[in-house]
Amino acid sequence: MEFVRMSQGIYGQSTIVGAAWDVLPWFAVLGAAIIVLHILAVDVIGRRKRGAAPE
Amino acid sequence: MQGRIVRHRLADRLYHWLIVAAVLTLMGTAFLPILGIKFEWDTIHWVAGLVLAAAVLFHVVRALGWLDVRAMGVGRADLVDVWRRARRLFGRGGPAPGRGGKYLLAQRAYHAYIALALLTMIVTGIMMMTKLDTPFWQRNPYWLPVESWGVVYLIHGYVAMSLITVIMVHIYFAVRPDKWWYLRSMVVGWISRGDYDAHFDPARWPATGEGEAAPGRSGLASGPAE
Repeated sequence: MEFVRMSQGIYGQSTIVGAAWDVLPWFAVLGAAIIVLHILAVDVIGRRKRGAAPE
Repeated sequence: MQGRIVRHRLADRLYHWLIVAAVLTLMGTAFLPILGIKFEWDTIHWVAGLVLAAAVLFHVVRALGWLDVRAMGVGRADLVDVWRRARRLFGRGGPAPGRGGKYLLAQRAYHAYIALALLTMIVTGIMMMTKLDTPFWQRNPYWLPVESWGVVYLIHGYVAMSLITVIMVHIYFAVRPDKWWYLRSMVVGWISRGDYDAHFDPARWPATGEGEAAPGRSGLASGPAE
């Protein structure tokens, strides 16, 4: 996977052009992962609190 | 206003929703063509960018002149609260964390990142506009050397992509049923007295007379309530 878009200059040297868009979906995946982890954490903490609460 | 605490004034709510419109327009015009949906995006993109820059400038002036910038700071009380929450999370007991200031620590962290990201996007975006013909100037693609342009585009691109993650998480917390009263306050401006009493420490976000709370400080004013 490319992280940076590069081009060849007129003298053959490599030059950075910008961000590689291959990584774009991974930012959405990271956002979804944080959301899912938070949902799971809230659920686990909620269960633990309900279990610890006196009847 | 009985039983209601003003949280966001109309100017701040309008600013927030203008930023939402500008950022979503910028992200749509940036990423949809990359995803294969082709259209004439560049004029919409730079106009939305200028709207964003103007809105952010308004917000900075308003924050410095009329709002309490310390409400977005982090103080000793916040660190003590984090420690106490962590201890309780791992079953270590100890004193309960205090109620919060006007903004949760997570909200302040979000604000810090989004402020840094938007300022970076605005600066790099205005630099990139020198490569476009606009009603204000003619393009000058040689303003920077080619290598420098690559770095500018790299920064603009990565910060833009990071906003996908950050905004997804922001929307998730805004629409969570237990947090939706925050979202409601960004629409109607107020929170209920019950939510104020349940979630906020009056020493850190004092409610004054007439049902209106002061601009608010977060962890800077006092220690956490026991």
